[in-house]
Amino acid sequence: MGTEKTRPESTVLSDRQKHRVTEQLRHEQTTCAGCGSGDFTVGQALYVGFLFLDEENGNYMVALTCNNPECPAPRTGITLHESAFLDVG
Amino acid sequence: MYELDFPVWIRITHWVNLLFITLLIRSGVEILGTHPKLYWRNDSKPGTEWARFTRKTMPTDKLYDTLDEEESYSSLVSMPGHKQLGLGRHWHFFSVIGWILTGLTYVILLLATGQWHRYWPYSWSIFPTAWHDLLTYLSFNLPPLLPGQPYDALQKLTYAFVVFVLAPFQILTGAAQSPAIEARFPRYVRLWGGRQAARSLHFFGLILFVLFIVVHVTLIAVWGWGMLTSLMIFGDVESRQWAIVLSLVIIAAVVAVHWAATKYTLRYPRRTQRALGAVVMGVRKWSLKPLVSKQNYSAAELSPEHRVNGKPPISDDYKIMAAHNFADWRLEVAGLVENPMTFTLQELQELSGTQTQRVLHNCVQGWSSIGEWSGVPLRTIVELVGPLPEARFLCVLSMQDSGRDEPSAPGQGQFYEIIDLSLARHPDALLAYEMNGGLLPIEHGAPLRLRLENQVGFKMAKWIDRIEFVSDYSGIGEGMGGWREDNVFYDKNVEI
Amino acid sequence: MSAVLRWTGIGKLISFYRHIQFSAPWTTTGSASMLVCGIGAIHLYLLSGNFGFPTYLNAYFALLSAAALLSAVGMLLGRRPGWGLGSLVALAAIAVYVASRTLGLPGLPELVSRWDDPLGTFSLALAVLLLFVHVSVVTGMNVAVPRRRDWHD
Repeated sequence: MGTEKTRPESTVLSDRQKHRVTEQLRHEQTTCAGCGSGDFTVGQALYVGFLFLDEENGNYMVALTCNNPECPAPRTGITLHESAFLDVG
Repeated sequence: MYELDFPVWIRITHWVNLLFITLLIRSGVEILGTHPKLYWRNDSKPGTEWARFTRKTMPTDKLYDTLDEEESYSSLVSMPGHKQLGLGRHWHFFSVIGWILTGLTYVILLLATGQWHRYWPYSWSIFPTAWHDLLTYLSFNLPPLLPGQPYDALQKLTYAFVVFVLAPFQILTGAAQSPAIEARFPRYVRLWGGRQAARSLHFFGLILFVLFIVVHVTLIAVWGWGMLTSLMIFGDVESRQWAIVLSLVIIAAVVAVHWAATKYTLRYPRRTQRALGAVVMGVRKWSLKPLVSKQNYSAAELSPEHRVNGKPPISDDYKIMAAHNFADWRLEVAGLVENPMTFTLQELQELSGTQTQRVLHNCVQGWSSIGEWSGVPLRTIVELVGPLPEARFLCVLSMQDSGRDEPSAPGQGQFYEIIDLSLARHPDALLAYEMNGGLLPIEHGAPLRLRLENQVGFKMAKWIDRIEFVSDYSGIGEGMGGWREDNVFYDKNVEI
Repeated sequence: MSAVLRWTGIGKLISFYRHIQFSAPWTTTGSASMLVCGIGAIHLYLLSGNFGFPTYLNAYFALLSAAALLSAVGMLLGRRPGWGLGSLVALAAIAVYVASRTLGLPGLPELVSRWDDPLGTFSLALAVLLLFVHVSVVTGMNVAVPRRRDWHD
């Protein structure tokens, strides 16, 4: 699939950044809307703060893939501010 | 020797011209106000404008588009005023048809009747004579008329310039702003220095016309309003008192037409759109619509910063799809077809016959940029799904909900545009998924947008997820042929 | 006052200029320096033409021509006083010309009411245009060198 390519608006996350996202998911007890699972693989982060009117500056849509093989809608995402998972400053 | 008098056709065309030229000026200002910036270079790069007629400034930390930059001018200077580009365009193109027909009638009759002698410079000596005339005017005196002619030398040269240089110049620079003409004759646009240079030159033409009118009317008053308007109304100088009254009545009538047309347009925009659109699109159908793109700009000419219009869908579904590089996105092609089909992005990318075109993009608002677009020719999809005999149009649907996503455009609902099936079969009609060699950026319509190189930008729907073949579009939206046609009264076929 | 301006719409009309801005520093500066040079050249011609003007008027012509040249150079070098001097030249040219045709100048009563001088009208036109260009720079409609527009959009 085309998911291997990086979109111009996307950032590839390091393992440390992915780990911070996972911690956030755990902290917020995020579950998959498709199957209720809480086990995700963290993908790329799409910067949405600039492109989308409803988003605050610094917001990203982080791609999440539900690890439940039975999940009917495994591709989901979470909006996070850069301060929550990117190493800034 | 011909008698250079004022035959009835000169008098009629003069006053008809007054109506059309003033309509053109006001509607032209409306068009200018929609992107109140003038450039020299094709890329219309933000900040490179040489003139701006707006006080708005755009944010640096948020996506804005040229709809945000649109100005709302008063009806006193623009037709119809109040940020109505679609209706202003209708008036401009309707008036230009009338103006060109009036001009052609005038020039043909000039040639046929020998009245062209009134503009013909018989000898080089007309130039020093015109110079002397200028000095005479500067000394607040009136120069003598040329022997046997109705004008002084300076006047003769000025009129000849306006009729045979300035008017054609406006037509030619106007035509150079038509995407269909630019696509078919890219060298013609280069001749003017590019699309934006043509727009700037067209603006200078407007200024010259306004200056001419001001000086012309002033000098008519100086020479004798009654005498000259008598010539231009009755063809002789016998009825000066009546001419003063009648000339003011004619001018008042022109003002009244402007006033009534403006009021009517603002009050009944849909009726105006239908009535003027019928004339304008009828002419375009045989003149501009058949033109196919022959442009192939070099890689060096690509705009470093391609402007955008329209904002991406703000739905979470769209953002999540984008974060996953549109793996869950599907293009549905259905309606009046033999084989309704659904494509993933990868399937589209794997279709044979990928096409790349480096082209000048024309926004309806007036800016342009050059981009390279790659994707699948629309005709490939048309062939794969096989339209039924009754299919005549394609309804291209976007994931953008304009009411929600584009606060600068008045109107509600999902964005869509209708294109003719014949246009979908144009060799340059493309479903693009790449831009400038990379993935199509979100602001340019990711994952898929339409490219129609002989149309202006708004027809090239972005963020597409469905194409429906239909026999008739009167039941879709307001039935005008697209979201912008429905909501802001644009014209359905936009080859200019 | 402001209420009057608002109510009559005059305020809106006056502030309309704010909607017009150009980014052509060299064209602006070049035009202004050519205009002031034009005024200077006309007065130099009057000085050198042996028209029998009184000495004080020839001295004024010489002074005005020199000031015009200085102003043009100043403008082209991007010095603001060049513009001020240019406007002074224009104002002086207008004032002396109008005075000569209305009040009359010492020793030159024959010039009163002689508005039919093309060179004089031309000089007036140049002076008015120069003042207009200067006003356009002061109000921000235009920028002159060395300034540049800092527009991002």
